[in-house]
Amino acid sequence: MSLGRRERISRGVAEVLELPQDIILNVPRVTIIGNLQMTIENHRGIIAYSPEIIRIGIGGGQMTIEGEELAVGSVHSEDLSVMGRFRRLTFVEVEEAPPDGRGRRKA
Amino acid sequence: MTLDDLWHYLQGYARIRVTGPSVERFLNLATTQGLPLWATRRRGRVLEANLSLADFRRLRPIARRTGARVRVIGRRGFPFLVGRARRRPLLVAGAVLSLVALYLASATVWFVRVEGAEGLDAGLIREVASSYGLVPGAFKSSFDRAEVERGLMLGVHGISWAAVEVHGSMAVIKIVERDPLEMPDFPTPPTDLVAARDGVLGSLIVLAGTPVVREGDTVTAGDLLVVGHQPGTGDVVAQAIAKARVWYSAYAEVRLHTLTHEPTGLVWKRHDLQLGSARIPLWGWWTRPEGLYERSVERLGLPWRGSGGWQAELVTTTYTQVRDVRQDLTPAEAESLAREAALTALAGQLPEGVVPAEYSFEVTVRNDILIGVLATAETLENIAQPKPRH
Repeated sequence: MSLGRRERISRGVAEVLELPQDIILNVPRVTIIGNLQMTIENHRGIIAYSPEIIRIGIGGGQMTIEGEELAVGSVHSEDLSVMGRFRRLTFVEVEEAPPDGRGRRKA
Repeated sequence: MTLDDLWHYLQGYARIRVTGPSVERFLNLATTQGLPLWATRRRGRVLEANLSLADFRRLRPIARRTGARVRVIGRRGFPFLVGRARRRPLLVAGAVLSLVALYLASATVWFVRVEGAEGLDAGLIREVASSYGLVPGAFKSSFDRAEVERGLMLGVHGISWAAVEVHGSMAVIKIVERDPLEMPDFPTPPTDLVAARDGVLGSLIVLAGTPVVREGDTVTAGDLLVVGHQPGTGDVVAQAIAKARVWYSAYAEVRLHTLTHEPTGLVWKRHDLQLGSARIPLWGWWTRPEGLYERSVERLGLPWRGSGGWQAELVTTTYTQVRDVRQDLTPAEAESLAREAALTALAGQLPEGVVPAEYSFEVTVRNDILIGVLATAETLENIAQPKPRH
């Protein structure tokens, strides 16, 4: 079963059973307060951290926060919070790593 | 400060500086190992973060695995405060002493103020209060306020009510002196109290004597209220405050249509000389007033007396021509005027210093020519009046 098909089935199950999609699909739940504070639940760790850009691993890819004076407020295994002045938020899907160990960016 | 911040402060935490090839990896590993980091800051290749004291020892293997170098750059929180305090016992002792002194100072009455003593000596009231423990420098718990109040009422003659309030470090003694207006002056014993006016008794507070009426009774002026006799004591000067509802009423009426005269400007004058019963015309005898007129007569005595005892007089008669003026009022205007007149009459009846609690008006129309208003005022006043018993 390919990843796309599995995802479609999971989304269908979540819609039929009216379950929160972030639980079924294993995607992050992101809460943003203005452009100053952001809480990301269900993350996969910090990939890059600088005052201008923070890249965070999420289920099925990465999310990139760009801005000024960015800082990670707290880090826990389930959630993390980011503070600063956000300018742009980007999601990048990454396909599952093939047997050779290299991931391929989708968008 | 959030609850998390408070918890971290109580537990104590360290501010660490991490340098190395991949501080992101260090962060992720620490998180997966269950070591939460907070308040992180990234400056170039350096990462600063807070870490709880308990977790600090567990950080070493992670640092070794990621090739990161960890340095503690600050220690914060309550455990460190205690540690610092241990090294400075005098400072701690000073702080504790300050707290104790503050507590003692706030638990003490430093000032005693007397309010309401106009005729009475405030010094005397302070002295009586001090005998019950209320004195500057006393602890608030060292005296019973109710006891001080009772002591003041019994110990100082002329106080009808006393209260002690403590605000911060100040005790305020509030007193109400006996009002001479409320307490009639009784000349010689034995004396009864009678009703000064008709009314319905609202309240009766007997200070001396035996009451013969009860609250709610209707009394008329002169009725006996309190007998100047007390079982066991014998004859006394009856003292009581008898507040009664008393009614006063006044009536005034105003005509809806009035007819008055107004001068037209035409005036005739006639002068005569009066000698006894004889009148001799001098001037103006030929004038004949016309229409409606008003007549006025002035007499001027002359220095001339006749043998019959009469005195000569110069009589001036003035005829002023007038015309009828009819004035009509609407019922509302007439009622307003009658109401004002009734109120003015009512104000004259009220005793000095008594303010009516309620007014009521009754309007009557008589034969469509008169509007009458009966104004009634209800007052609450002390009707007790001393009456020496003969």
